Amino acid sequence: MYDIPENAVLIVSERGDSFADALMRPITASGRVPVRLGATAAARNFTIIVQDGDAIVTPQIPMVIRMPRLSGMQSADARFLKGEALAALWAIAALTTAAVLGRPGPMGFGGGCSLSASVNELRGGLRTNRMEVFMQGLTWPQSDTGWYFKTPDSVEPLNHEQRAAYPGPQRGRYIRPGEQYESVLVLGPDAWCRGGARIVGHDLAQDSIKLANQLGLDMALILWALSEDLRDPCLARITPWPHREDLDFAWDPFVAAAISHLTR
Amino acid sequence: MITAIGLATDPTIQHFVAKCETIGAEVELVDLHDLALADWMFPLPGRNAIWRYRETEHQLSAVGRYYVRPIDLSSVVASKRDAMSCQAMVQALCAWLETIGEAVVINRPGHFQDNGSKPLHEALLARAGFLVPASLTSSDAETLSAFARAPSVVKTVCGARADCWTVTPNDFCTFRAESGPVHLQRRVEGADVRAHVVGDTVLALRIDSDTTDYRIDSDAKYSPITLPQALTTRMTRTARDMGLIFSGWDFKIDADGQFWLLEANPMPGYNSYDNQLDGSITDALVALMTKGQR
Repeated sequence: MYDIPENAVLIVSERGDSFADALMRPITASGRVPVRLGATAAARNFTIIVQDGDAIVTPQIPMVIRMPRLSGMQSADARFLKGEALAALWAIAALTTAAVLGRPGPMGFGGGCSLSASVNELRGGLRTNRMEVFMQGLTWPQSDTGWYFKTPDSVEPLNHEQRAAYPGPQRGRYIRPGEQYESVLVLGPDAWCRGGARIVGHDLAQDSIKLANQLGLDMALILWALSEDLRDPCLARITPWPHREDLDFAWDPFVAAAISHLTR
Repeated sequence: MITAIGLATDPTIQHFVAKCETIGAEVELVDLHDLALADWMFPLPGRNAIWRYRETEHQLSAVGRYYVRPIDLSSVVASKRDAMSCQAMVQALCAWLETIGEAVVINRPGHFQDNGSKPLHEALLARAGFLVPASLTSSDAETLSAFARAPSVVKTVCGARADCWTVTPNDFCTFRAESGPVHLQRRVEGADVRAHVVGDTVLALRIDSDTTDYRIDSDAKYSPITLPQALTTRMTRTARDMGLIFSGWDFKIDADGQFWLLEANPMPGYNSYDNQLDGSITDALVALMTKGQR
């Protein structure tokens, strides 16, 4: 077990996480000691007692929870131990009374956030009239027009030829011609918009705070798709674990609010 | 028509299909193994899905009746590509089932998942007003040993199926943190109760056994039991709050007749209990799925 100092802020993340890297300095500057551990090592430092209707988590340490992974490449025993640690970490982060950034809820890490945009819209109380399709072994629609397709392991969207040649699973969503995008970073009751374009009939900052709240997320980067004339926002993507490089537009105010939350 | 979606080798799915056939309910089985390796398309929201396997095309109706046991086979298939197909198919199926609002789906994906973290699950059940035995989750040998001085059992933290064993302080003499975390729960002496909530219906069995885990006791005695009204009301309300139409609840009854809740299972393997109850759990499931149709 790791001897975590009393004035620590624990960052639970895997190696190579740019967001976690970038938090180290501001945490130190706040007078706290940043301690970074993987999910398994972190979980082994805590004890949870559930008794008489109460849950007590010790030690009481503010923490940042980044996306935990259950790798498929380990042995069955190693996967079991990691699964046990992740299950404990889930309870630790959900039940602790210390401040948490990325607090999981009854749906798990990442709250009610799904891989499916339609499901996110449904759970978030948004309109769900934009077609989304999951498929394997089929090529539909027969042309590229108006669709965005990805495979589970592709970073960039696929064009029609790539899709037709790819035998595995794909997910696609209809996009409008000339679509524009706006990113909004949410942290609890605060939100920062990248472009700040005025959208008729919508306050995207408030819409984003409400959506994150509906999905049980204390932090999220939300990408809204707008029509060519900047109307009619639709949810394009939401991630509870954004990369540091996607947050340049709001990093300074965001990190100030995050540190304030963690060191309250 | 009821569509059962799950692994054809799963005894619970097999039982459901067989019972449906026995009572004359029209049922078809979609094997997740076939589906994962087939061509498929799940359009959202609220449209029919199609899948094509061995030259035959099948449809899944957006207004159908579904009994679903979604199991991700990705960790047990040989190739990385098949693993990706299995995982993506279960994700796609679950997303589709969640958005077909006019269909009846038992259980519709999107329900609480906290059964996958026992300490969280127990804390939330306690907050919902149930009596829940005290528990400890830790990797510290001294803390675990101290808790085990009173009668305790050990369970998996993640809720994976495993036999339940009694532990003593000696079990932690050579324990190292690298083997943790471990979840211990105070042992409650008394009979077991297994109840199934199907909508607003509660069907329960009392189980008397001399072993810590009655599931491995071939001499265990099963008998139907009616639970107190206040308890069934709390169970059905909590199940609804968790997003569950169908759930399996495990209790212990202590010497004072108090019901201690151990867990609420969101995907109960209910076949053996249904056999003890003359198929009444399947009857209730079918009735709920075919309400207004039969």
